[in-house]
Amino acid sequence: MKPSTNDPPLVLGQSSAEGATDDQGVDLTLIRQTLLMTPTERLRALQSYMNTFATARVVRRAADGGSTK
Amino acid sequence: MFELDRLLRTLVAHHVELIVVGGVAAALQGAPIVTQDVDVLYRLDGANVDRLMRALTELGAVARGDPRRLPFDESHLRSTGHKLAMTNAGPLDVLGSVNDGLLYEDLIGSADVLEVAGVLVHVLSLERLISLKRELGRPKDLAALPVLEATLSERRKT
Repeated sequence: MKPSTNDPPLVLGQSSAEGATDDQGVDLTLIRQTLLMTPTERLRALQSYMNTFATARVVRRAADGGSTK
Repeated sequence: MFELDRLLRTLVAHHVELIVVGGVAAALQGAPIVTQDVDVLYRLDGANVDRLMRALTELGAVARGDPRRLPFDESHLRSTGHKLAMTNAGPLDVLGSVNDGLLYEDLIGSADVLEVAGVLVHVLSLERLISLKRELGRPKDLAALPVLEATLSERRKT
């Protein structure tokens, strides 16, 4: 979503993270964002992350000369 | 490549009675977590094991980490143990039981029916996932609790 000219500007030096975490340090903004998604959208997002990590592992393995570490 | 939607659709197409548990269940219930495989708890009855076997055959499932790439047979699938498979849609753990011997019948009442990728699947509730992880008490389970509990708390506000 593009910012609107009516949106209040972000003030430099002011943290946008205030109130965004719970007392355990969990980022609530990510949870709220995920809860807005449908289960199918959550599955596709998860699948995308898993494929990204799998690709990164393959690239890393190739860079290490085929080592499985 | 992981194709979680095809994996679930194949299991449903074969009418396998199962509950999605573990990290994928948490993600489907709204927790922003990443996992590496799909865990399903299936009903151990003979007809369901046959259906699961057909689904696994279609998915080209073999024992993960076994260089012989052997498929699971009926005797494996009739056991309450964890069968770790690699399929042509990604890693799949088929579980005859979870925690200390909990079966499909013990947990189906704690599952929600969610529409995922065009099919209806039973997904373990966030509340029960939290209680199972707390009971297991392993470091990796306890580490996941803050995010799961915060997700449950946020969901209750909406």
